[in-house]
Amino acid sequence: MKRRVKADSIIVLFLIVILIGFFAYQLIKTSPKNITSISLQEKDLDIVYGSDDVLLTVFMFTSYECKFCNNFFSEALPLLKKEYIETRKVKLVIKLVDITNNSNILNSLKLAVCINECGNFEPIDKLLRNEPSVVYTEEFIQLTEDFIAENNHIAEYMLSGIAESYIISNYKDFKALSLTGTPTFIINNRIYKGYKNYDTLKKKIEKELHSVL
Amino acid sequence: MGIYFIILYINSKLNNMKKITYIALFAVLITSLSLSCLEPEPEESCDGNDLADDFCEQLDIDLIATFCSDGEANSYYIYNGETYECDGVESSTCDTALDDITAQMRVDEPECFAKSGKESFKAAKTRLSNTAEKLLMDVRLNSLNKGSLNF
Repeated sequence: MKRRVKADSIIVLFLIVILIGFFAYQLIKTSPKNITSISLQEKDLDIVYGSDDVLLTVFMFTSYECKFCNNFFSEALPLLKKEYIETRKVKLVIKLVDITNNSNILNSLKLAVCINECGNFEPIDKLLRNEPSVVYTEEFIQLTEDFIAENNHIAEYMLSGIAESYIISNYKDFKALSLTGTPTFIINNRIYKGYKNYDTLKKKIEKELHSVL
Repeated sequence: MGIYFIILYINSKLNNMKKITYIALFAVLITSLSLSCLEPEPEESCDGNDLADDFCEQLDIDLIATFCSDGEANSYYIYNGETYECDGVESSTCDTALDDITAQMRVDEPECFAKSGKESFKAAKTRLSNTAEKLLMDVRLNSLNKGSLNF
């Protein structure tokens, strides 16, 4: 009888351990990863939506070849702007990153950040998001050359290496954080990998806003 | 605190085996309740893309590849009933998926790709579409005026 009780106890304890282990695994799986080694900072050439006097800064690593990133810009960003950016709760800092090591893509990103700095970013952002393969066309290459020839600011940023250093530094930050794909969001030093629809992102932002209040 | 009183109550009322059984059931109940409180999986959504527009616009055929995403990182293309992984976290998988799909399309619609030819197939990937042409013109005309996009 005592043996039976002992055997039953072991089975029950074993089941409890499995259940607790499963629960712990689910918790770990759903928790974002914390950054401990580097602190991500806003840089001069970052593309920023929002003012400086906000409660929370959301960093986003993105590339124009990434379909998921484009889904974010077309679906989630308009709602994010309305609810959090225009109400001065959140600032979105976009870091363009080239993970392909392709010269055409690098040049298009350099041009995009230069135009954002000294011109109107919206048209080139729309072009690269809707037609990312345009960067390989003669027409786009010609456009870049024309802008460099016509505009001193763009020429300075493009030819002095400022824009290229910035894009490379984004890639270094990306690698330093052990990231492998875009989009990746960094909120309150926590990494959220992959595409988030607006509702999912909103939950993360609300959670992080509560933690800073 | 509540759990402590429940365990005390069980200890005082029941024999050893029953104690263990009730504690196990209690653990199952708590775990189930906790798991049910975790965030639900986001709903999946899908979009159809007709790649025939890109590769064989001379022919009236459909080459529909459907892209599905659950709103997190789990996404994939479906073409002709086959699933091709395209992960939002590891973006290179999407390039592989699209290459695999176009390779399969070459087999399914040889006429389209025969007309296009190897060189024009490559060029089709980089050709300037009408949309791109309009957007490019917009960039040329409006990029150097300081806009109000960023505030």
